[in-house]
Amino acid sequence: MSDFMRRLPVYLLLDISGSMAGEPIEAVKVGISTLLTELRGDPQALETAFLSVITFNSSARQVIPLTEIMLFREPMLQAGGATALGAALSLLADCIKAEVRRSTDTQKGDWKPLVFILTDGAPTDDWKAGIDILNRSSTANIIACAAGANADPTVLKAITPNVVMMNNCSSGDLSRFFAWVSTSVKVSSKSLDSKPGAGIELPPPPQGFVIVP
Amino acid sequence: MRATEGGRPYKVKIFKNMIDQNLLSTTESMWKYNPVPEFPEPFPEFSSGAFSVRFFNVTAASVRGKKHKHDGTNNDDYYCVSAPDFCGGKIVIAALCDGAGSRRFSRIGAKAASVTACEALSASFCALTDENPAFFSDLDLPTDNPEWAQLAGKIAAVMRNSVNTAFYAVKDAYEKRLNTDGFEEATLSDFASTFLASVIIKTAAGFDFTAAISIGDGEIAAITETGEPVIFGNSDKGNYAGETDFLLNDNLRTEAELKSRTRFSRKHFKAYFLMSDGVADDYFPTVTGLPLLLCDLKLNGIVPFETPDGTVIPPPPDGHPEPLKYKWVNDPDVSLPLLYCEQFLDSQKLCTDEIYAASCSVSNITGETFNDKAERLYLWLDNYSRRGSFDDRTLVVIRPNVIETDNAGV
Repeated sequence: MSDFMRRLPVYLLLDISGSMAGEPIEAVKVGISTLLTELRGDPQALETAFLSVITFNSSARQVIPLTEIMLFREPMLQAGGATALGAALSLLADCIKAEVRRSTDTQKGDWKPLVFILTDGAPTDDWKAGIDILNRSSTANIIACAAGANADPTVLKAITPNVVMMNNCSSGDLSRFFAWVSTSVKVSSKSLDSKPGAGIELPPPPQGFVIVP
Repeated sequence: MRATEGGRPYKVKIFKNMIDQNLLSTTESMWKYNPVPEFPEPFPEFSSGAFSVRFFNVTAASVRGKKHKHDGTNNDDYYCVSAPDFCGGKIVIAALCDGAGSRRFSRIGAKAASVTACEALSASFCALTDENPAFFSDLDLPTDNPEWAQLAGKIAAVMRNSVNTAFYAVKDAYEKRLNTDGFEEATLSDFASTFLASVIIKTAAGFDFTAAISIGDGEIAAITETGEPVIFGNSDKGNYAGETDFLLNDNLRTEAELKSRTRFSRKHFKAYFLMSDGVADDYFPTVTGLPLLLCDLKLNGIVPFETPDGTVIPPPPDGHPEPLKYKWVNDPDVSLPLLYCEQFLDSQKLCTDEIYAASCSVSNITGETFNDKAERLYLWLDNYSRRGSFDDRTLVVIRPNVIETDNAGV
């Protein structure tokens, strides 16, 4: 990989707490697989998109560092534990700082990172501290998805203005979520050339998803 | 990659800024060609041209990027170059604008801005040369001479004025289309583009005096006769790629701001460039990338090979690498062989002069199929491949002619 190539960093923050056990976690695995297939079929995504997976349950862990699509291997995911969203946001800030290149006179910056957060429950740790750390240290286009009735969209709204909600955490909804992530990654690069700090345009959310105002 | 000549292998180490050949071999068949839409108004997909005047040779081209071809959307770049009749081939004016990719009609704004800026600059320099018969010799005065300062001040004002003239041209283009078919929902920001404008003047003493002004990304830059890169201004960049400023931003058109964006230079140039970010990004950072750009242009027969003293340096003993070929998005049955100067940067660490020398032996590889310089530049821009590079590409190359100068001015 060229040190001078612009990359589109994409971070998936996935809730793998106990409530995701069973059908939901299996649907997430299938979703990641589908996402990869979709992105590998798109030349622009294939040349520029780099994907990372951060999971969180009782703690947060970057299970896949920022990796180009061609070399990405699907992570082993197992659900269990609590929902340390704050720790995940803090870790995300660290990862962006370490992995994403900013423009300088001698370095070509990456595209602004895209972050997708998927959670089905309320955080169990100090999530506000995580938001503070993220806001202080990095900027990214963040899209959060509250999966099912137990997720707390107000917490997600504190992280990003871009929050969608799915009614339940079914495999069908999760599958549609990952298809939407794929479309968002493809579409995002078309709307990224903007004034510094400007947001991105996202495709309409899948049917049955609600944009949280 | 290995290539041979005369039975001896030439080992090529792919430079880190070089294409990722494996991935490009995968994606070359995935890029699709979709024509530009005719609605709401047709816009050229590509353009190229070349002309010579007494003191300068100009070659320019603009091509639609792979992404826009794939999506069936327009080339958002536009350029305009002119050598006004009044000055005996001593002045070349160029403007280049890159429409914002996220804005629906930015190409129209880019065209209005670049064409109008060129016209305005031409008229202004006509007036400056009319009012001052010693215009061309005054440009040679020492920079601490009050007359030079006065002239420089006038030129700076002309450059600043071109920005505002371009802005009003964009506004006018928007207002003319308001509520017409296809533009019902248009806003002025839909016409946003970057702005690069420059004038290059052969002074009476034979220097290349240049004035440049820019808003947004892309680059105005030159290489001196001694090989030194000169960058005219700081390209506007945000923290991340693709974040830039546009001509429509009111804060950037204040007099103070425009003063800070105006650059002068008086040197002897080998080549002078205006480029959209689709090219500038591929040769980033410009200070080290510019010699590589010039080298690529030489290797592919767009700029003639010449040594400073006119002598021909023998080609390197190990020969040269084979040109690389990727499918042309426009026609997958066509693969143009192109050379990349990074191919020459092997363990022998050839300097750029040696790369130029190597081009002596290979220039006919890429040069036989098309003769016209403008067509060569167009085909090269449309076909060179680098991973992650699929933006529209526009490049204006201005090369001074080496001829005797007079001291009479015009």
